[in-house]
Amino acid sequence: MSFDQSAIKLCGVVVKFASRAGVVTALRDLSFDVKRSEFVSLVGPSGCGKSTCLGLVAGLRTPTRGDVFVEGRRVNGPSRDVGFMLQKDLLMPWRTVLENVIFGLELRGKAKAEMRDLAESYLRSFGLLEFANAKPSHLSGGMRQRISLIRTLLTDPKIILLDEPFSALDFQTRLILEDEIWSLLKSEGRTVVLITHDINEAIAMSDRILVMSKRPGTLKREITVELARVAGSPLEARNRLEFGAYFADVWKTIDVDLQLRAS
Amino acid sequence: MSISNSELADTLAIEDRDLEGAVARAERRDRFAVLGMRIAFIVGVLALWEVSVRVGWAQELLIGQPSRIAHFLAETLIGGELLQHAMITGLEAITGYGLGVILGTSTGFLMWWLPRFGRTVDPYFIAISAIPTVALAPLFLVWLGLGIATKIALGFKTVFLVMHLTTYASLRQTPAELVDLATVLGATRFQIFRKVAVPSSLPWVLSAMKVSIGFALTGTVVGEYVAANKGLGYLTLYAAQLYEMSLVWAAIIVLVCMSLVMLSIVSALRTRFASWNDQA
Repeated sequence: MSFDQSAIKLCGVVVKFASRAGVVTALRDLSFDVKRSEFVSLVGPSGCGKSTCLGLVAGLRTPTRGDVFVEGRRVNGPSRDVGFMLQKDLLMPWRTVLENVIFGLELRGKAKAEMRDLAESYLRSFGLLEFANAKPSHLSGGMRQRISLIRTLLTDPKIILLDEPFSALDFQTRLILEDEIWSLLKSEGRTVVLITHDINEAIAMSDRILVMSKRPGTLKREITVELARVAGSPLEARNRLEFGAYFADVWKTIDVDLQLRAS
Repeated sequence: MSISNSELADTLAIEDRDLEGAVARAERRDRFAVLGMRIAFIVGVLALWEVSVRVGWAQELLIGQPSRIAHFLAETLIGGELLQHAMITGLEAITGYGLGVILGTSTGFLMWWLPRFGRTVDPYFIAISAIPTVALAPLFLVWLGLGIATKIALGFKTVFLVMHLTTYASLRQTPAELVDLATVLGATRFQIFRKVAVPSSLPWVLSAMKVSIGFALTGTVVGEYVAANKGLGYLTLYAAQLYEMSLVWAAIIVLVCMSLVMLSIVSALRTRFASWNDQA
């Protein structure tokens, strides 16, 4: 595949880092690519290097060996093309909702009025405009995570990295947010990489699932799903007949590792 | 039924308002009751104290006497001797405190900005903070003389180290994910410092500023014990040697008042700049 088609490309990436116990290999020979506007999930056992992988794409970490490309350019440091959202909403408690939302634009020295208009239109579309001047501590987990998403979207990144953004939410909120975020990102044509422990979530939202092995992490299998794309939304995808078969398939792939660990 | 919905709603609203009024009144009554009991308690203690001295159950020589304390304090208001001593102590304490706060936070910032330098010198700061301030008094006396500088230095020493260690530690507590987030959003190092690290450490810095007020006054008064002919520390020592306990009490009350004024200023700063975090 040529570079101009892939939004993200990892080639033979190895990551080693020093710890008290010696040098740890987090990723070994990891290669994959993600096409523009594709929604890809990374699943795998805890500590398999999923987050390390996102750190590479975000430019927070450099590979020990191998190359990482974003939008056809080799990654060396954070880039404006990439935004991320974590399990923790990372809202700054000393800033109001509006001030949190515009944080990224403020860092880039945008004009105040321009930032405000943009932020307010996003807040309005999420039904959060009335909380613009509230402090985040007064809001629910779901609202806070929406605000965190708006902060990411305002800087208009082509690629959005989601590191378990739903895992701290209750089940209903999680389903609703999955739908909201999925349709928004799809309609805007953004490329998404989602890390999750929740296999159901990965199947419901993804075009493709990358299953990683346990540490040192490498790509074990990739499974094309596209259920949400066909069904129209993650919630509808969960009602599809094929859903169960996908679950069994992914689970089995991860399960082999569990057995290996037990033996 | 002749009552309309809107009438019913009005009636209910009035009842609600009555109920809220009653709850608010009960709350207010409770607060006044506690306040009243507090005042009654302190008045009772002072009255018992005064009477004990007057009828001869206790000696004025040893415990002082409220009416005489009041007399000394009243003199302060019209510019007596006590006021002059208080001004000296206030000047020394505030200077030591101000310098300590400014320099302590500055070096804390600097050590965060230069991490390798910070890690190098950190143990020395901790070691110096372990020296009891009182133990340094003779040294400062030799270096800085009998004047005001020794007292300022003794107040400064503790304030500086408390502010430095708190600032440095709280800057290092800045959540790493928040720094990553700012980095991904394109923040420069200075922006991370100004918009992430400083605001997140501010509640702790302001709390340390509160605690430091007591340290500044303690250091200053100790300095005045060691060698001085002015200041509230000198005055309490001198008055106690003369068994003028009422004057000792009056000086202590003035010290407490100074401390409370400074505390209320820092508390106001804290409410203004760091009310988002009540744990620090």
